[in-house]
Amino acid sequence: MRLLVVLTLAVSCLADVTHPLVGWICDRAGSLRPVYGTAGAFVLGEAVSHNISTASFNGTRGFALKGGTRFHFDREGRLEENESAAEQSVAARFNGSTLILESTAARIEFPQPIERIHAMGEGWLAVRTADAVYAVSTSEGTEQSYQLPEAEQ
Amino acid sequence: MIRPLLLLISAAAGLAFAAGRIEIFHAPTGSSEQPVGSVFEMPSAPVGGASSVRFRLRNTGDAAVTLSSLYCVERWCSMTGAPPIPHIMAANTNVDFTIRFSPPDAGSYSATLKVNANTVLLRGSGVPAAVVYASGRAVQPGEAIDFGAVETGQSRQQTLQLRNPSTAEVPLGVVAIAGSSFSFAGGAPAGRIAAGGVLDFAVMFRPSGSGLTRERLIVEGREYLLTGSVNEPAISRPSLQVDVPTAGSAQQGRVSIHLAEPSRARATTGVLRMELQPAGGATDNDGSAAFLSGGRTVQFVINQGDSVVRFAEADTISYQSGTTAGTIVFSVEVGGYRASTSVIIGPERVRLDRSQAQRSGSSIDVRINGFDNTRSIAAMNFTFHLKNGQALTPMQVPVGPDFAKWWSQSKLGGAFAFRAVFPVQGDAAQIAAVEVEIPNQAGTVKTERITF
Repeated sequence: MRLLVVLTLAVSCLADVTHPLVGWICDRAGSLRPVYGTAGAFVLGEAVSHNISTASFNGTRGFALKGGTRFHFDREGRLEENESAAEQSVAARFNGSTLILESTAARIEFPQPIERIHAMGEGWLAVRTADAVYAVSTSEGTEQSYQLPEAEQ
Repeated sequence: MIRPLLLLISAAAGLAFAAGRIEIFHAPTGSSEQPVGSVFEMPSAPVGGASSVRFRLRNTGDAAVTLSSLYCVERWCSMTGAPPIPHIMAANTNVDFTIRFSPPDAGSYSATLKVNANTVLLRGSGVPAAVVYASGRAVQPGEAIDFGAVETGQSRQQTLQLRNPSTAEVPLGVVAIAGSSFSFAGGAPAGRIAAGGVLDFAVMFRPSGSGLTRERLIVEGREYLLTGSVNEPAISRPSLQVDVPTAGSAQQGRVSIHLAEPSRARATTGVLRMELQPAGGATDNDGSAAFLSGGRTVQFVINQGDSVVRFAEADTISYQSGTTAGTIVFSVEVGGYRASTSVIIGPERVRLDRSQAQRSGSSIDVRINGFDNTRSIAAMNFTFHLKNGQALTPMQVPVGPDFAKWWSQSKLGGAFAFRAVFPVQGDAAQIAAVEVEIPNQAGTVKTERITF
């Protein structure tokens, strides 16, 4: 029997255009901010929380540590206290100023020694050095680092 | 007939009392005037120099008098400040003028000052002495020798001369400089100057402060002004250099500012600006087109010795070109200079960041992230593929209004996250993949086959 598959007319397709969320970071001032845009053209959004010591985001769910208190947060940055919240693991390690992506074995050099790395979004890492925060694309074939802008004062 | 005779006598008497009378006085500045007799001793003057005396003619009568003669005729005697002749002097008024005595050689001199019918014998002595020359011109006591404007930290030297115009050798007295910004380069002049001889000496102007400087050169008791001024040095003309892998959207590049020569100024503030001029009349709403330090304006300070502007610890400042076609103009203003350079961001096809699709119950959810730097997406073409490999007829979905609404409220330039949900009538599980074509005014881009 021929399977009949009918897709509704295009006019009834529901379409929507919104801001492209790349991920979330804890900026150098300790604020939790969304990162919008695209590779090489990032924009930091408004801070949703301050005094954050560390944060990570895997594309759907985030982790933040604030004053010893653990939080989960969603794509919209809504925080929820949760004692069992844990920072997402990253498939990467660093040695001095070299980042090594475990999934692809790609090595990326930074101008200064790496201090910390976090998950920033789906297919993205946040790499922190003394003077800047970088976004690193981890998808195979696109491994590259980009310096993230500072939040405009 | 007696009355008319009385009138005639009294008229004659009145004429005898109404008369003007010119008297000559010596009127030195700051002292009371003294009457001058038939002889007046002019102050001695150095050979090649001069002495000056101010005289005053006063009409001490009770009627006006005409000054018809006022002169002094000798080559070493000159007059200044006198009124044009003839000159009417009202009663109790005065006329001042100056006689200048300039002896060409040592010795005694005399000249006649004539004032109407009166004469005064002027006598004076020329004293052998060195005359100060600067730039080939004799400098009189009280006049200024100017060294012009020098930059802070710089100096300027000028060679002056002491000339002996007399026919006898002249011993040189004390020559000194009163002040700290001027000094003798090579020592103060001393010794003797032969008849007609010249003695060169150098004076250095090395100011420590700023503004106008006035000090004194003292030659045998005669004082001459030494003047100069200090300017803050200007920086040299700046130029901009932009380094970017590719002149296009979503690029991170670097800007540097170079000076033609190292700055001699101590500290000069400037500003670097970045301006986006979108093509096609689009609104500048691109927050990603900015310096990575935040915003589109950066202030900086050029310090002494800098030949390239420092931004924190680096010689460059990084920027993002954003996601809008057009022109990025970098401009710098510093030290009265303005320089600019442009980077053209050409229109390009939609650039895709991420494409996803998933089946959710009886609908298919397609999500595409990317950017359109022309902001001209009007429709998308979706081609669904069945599991058996069959491709369904492409569906064109008009998305112009959705994107127009997004561009009007976005602050992300051309970046977007698009989502389309397709309700399915029938077995949605038979749909295995989708490809999406997205045309804009620069061309058409196609996603890879997205499977779900």
